[in-house]
Amino acid sequence: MSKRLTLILLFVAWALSSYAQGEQDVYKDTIPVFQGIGVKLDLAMPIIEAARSAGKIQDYEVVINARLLNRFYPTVELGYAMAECGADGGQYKGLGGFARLGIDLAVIKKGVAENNFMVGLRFANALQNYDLTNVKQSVNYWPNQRLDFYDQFRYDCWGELVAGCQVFLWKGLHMGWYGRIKLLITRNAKPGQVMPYYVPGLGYRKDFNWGFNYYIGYRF
Amino acid sequence: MNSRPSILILSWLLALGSFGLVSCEPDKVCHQELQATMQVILSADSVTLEGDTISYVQWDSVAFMGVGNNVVLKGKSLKAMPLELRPDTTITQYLVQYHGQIDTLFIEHTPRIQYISMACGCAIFHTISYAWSSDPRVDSVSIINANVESYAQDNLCIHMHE
Repeated sequence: MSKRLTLILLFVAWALSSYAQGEQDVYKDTIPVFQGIGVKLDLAMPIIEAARSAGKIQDYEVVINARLLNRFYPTVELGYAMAECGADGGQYKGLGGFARLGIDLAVIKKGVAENNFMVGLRFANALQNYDLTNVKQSVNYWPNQRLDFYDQFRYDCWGELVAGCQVFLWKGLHMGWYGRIKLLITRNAKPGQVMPYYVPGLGYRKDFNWGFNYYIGYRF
Repeated sequence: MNSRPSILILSWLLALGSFGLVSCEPDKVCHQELQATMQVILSADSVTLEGDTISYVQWDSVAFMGVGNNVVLKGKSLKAMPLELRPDTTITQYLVQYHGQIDTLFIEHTPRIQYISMACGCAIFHTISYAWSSDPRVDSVSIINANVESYAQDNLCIHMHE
């Protein structure tokens, strides 16, 4: 917990100091606060999952962000995912939506921040409805009856550290990628509750996870 | 920043990211020990020639068979006999064969399902509420530890008359 807090504080301190330096920039008088809205679609996850899981996992997301002061990008990411997968202990089938809220910072300060490297933070939430079926019981002597849990509901949240870049191709059309480090916050189950195997927006349920997105978008 | 080299870098990183950064599937095989088995101690008193009472356990002559299961369990060189409780009911019955006679041991318990992971499934823990036997040779059936949550704790003690 303290490591996470330290990481957040370091990021905030760095962002503020970078902004303070930016104040001395020769561009300060010519930069409007609000510089438009961008919409991006993720291409990576649908393609990767189509190849990797033959469509049993589907993940779609759209990103909406604003550009402020040529450096800051408040961001909302909305997505939808469905998955059908399993392991020795049972089968999972679920679908749900997710939303990430956060901010990106353009790393290169000088000039107009169109083509740039970005770092940012996200707070993400996911709601899902799922079935866990054919769940194994740790029983050896008695007949091992498998268990079914239908129509389960679960809320999860996690934090993300993101880094990537964006490149403008023509007018407002741009593309870019993000690598993500994800840290799950909701790790425990209530007594009697079964945990989903997959979390929309997070991926396979693990305390620590990775992600990758490749976007194409347009800035208005 | 020139766009063309950036696009080349992006494409290269896309390929790298596709293989290296995308969420990996967790282990599909369970490596945890989840067995929660009731451990039963059997003791019998015997009076020595000097008039002293000593307790002993002679597992070689005891056999257990679950009612509803044909597998016979025999304990040899064990401190306690591991007996599984049924996950699908609240009363588990074992036939106990001791010195050629058969008796039934009843255990009333509450099963508790604990989800572990998709690789392991669920562990079944139990809370024993009552245990008894109708055999007059059984002096008492006492609960040592009502919670059956591992393989390492003694849960029940059957004390026999000789």
